[in-house]
Amino acid sequence: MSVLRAAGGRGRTGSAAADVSRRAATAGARLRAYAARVVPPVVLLAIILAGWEAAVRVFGIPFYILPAPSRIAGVLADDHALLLGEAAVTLGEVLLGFAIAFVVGVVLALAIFSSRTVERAVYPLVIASQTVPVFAIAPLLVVWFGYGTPSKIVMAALIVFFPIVVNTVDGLRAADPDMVNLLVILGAGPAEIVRRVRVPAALPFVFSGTRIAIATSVIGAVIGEWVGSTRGLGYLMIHANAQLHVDLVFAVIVYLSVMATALFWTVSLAEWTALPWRRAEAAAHTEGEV
Amino acid sequence: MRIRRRQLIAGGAAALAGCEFLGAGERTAAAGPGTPLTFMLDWFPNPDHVPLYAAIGAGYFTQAGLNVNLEVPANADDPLKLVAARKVDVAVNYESGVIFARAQGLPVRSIGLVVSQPLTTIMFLKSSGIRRPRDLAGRRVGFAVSGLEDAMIDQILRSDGASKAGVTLVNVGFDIVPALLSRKVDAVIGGYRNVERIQIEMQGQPVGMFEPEHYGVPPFYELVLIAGDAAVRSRRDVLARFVRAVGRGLALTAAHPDEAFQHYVRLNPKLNDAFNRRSFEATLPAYARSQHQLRERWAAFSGWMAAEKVIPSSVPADQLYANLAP
Repeated sequence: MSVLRAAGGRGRTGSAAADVSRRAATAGARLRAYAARVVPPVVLLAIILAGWEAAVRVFGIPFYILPAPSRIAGVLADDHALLLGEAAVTLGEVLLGFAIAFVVGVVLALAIFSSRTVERAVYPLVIASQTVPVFAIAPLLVVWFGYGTPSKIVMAALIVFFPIVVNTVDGLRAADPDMVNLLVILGAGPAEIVRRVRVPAALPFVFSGTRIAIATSVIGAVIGEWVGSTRGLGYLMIHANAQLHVDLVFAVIVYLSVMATALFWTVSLAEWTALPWRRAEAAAHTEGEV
Repeated sequence: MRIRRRQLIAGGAAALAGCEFLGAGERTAAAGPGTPLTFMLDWFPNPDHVPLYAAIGAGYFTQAGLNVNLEVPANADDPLKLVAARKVDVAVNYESGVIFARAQGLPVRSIGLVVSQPLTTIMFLKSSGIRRPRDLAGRRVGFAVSGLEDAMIDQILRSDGASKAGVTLVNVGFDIVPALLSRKVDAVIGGYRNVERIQIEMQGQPVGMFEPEHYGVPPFYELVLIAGDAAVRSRRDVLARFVRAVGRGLALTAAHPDEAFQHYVRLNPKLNDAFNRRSFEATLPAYARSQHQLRERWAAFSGWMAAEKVIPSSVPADQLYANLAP
């Protein structure tokens, strides 16, 4: 990062004339930077959709094998009330599951970090918990927690839990040892070291884990809905599949992807807001590129 | 329908368990000369399929000049799509499945019969105190997603002067037997009289059932053989030979049940147990006796599905079936 910042700095101070013109064109540059971020994914998505649509038409692929994007768009428009209603149910399960897993995960990570004994006892179990296929335990969760919302929340939480714990533990350990030593020399207690050095160092890791976790937690909620539910996008999906509404199945997939992507960006936005020093680094990174 | 809810598991967990069955069931036909023909079951081998294994074991397909390659699907809806897409020549499916497929525009139809009587029921424990459909009012009824569950319960309750509005429907997804035995629900839609009833009775619980055909649901073919429209046009003779060979397997099963069951367990050694034996015996009266499909049955069931609004409009019967081997 510091190298990038230095590179960006050189770019800035390289020429006084360029510096002036740059300042004049700040608004334009900002717009260009924004466009540079938004245009590539939009163009790529458009190319993929166009290729998909063309392939379906040229090769005459029947809709029950692969519906064309235009057909899926039609379903998205026609059934938007149904889809939005079920999406709200699934989103609620995801957010609740995530909240529970986040709190439990961070507390557990602090315990693992603070005590070798806890680490030795708990860490292998945390890893083992992640090796259990969620599909295998989904039916059991339904039996234990019932057919209502709790089993879906637990399912989402189970998927979220692991990346949060592992990333938080890694983050707590990632603090600069010189900084820790300095605080020790200055007479800081362990709690203060955690608060002043370890937590700030851990936050980027926590956000990374959270980004991964929240996007995949949608999968947990959907699996939970598959094995026992009468609401949610997962239920709508199997119901549509049973009646061979293949285009509706794809419309649900679109909703799930959009939901996962939106959650991912929401966490990124939260990180941007909460970690101003990361923002500066990211800006330097971008300028370095420009 | 019973099978269809198992697609849930097929999606994931039982992809593991399913593989085991796949190993047993897949490609059991002898490789050899004859017209190659890919034949897909509706789900992993189970006693509904005894006549099909009898036909394989007794060599009826080989004698018909067919080299049958047996496949097991990962999902009970796959056969409809794969037959429509011409990846599979013939498959086992359900009368409702064919109608759903046609209503969505998939070019598939039924060309023969395996189980010609309904097997699905609304099932409950006798100890629940349920005696007639209206007793379900105020109760929790579990179902597995089949696309027909709403229509079934609606019809059965209406026939007894009640409404499904008073019933709490719960999707119990993966398996209806634990849901019933653990009393999480008071009844289940979609329990088969030859499968779940046996499983629950083997747990020592007396079972009560409402058979849909006794409560106003038109009688339907539980298991049919499906093929694509294109194949029915261009390979009519090959398909007719196939259907006749299945008919011979069904005749063998009716005349010599023990022999048929022996073929089934020889080709599926893991299924040689008391449950499969009892389930087979319970299925015996329901196997098809003829390959002649009745137009009225197709028309009545399609009309009923449309009246219950599970399909937008009734599908003409002549799009739903073809009698190839009268």
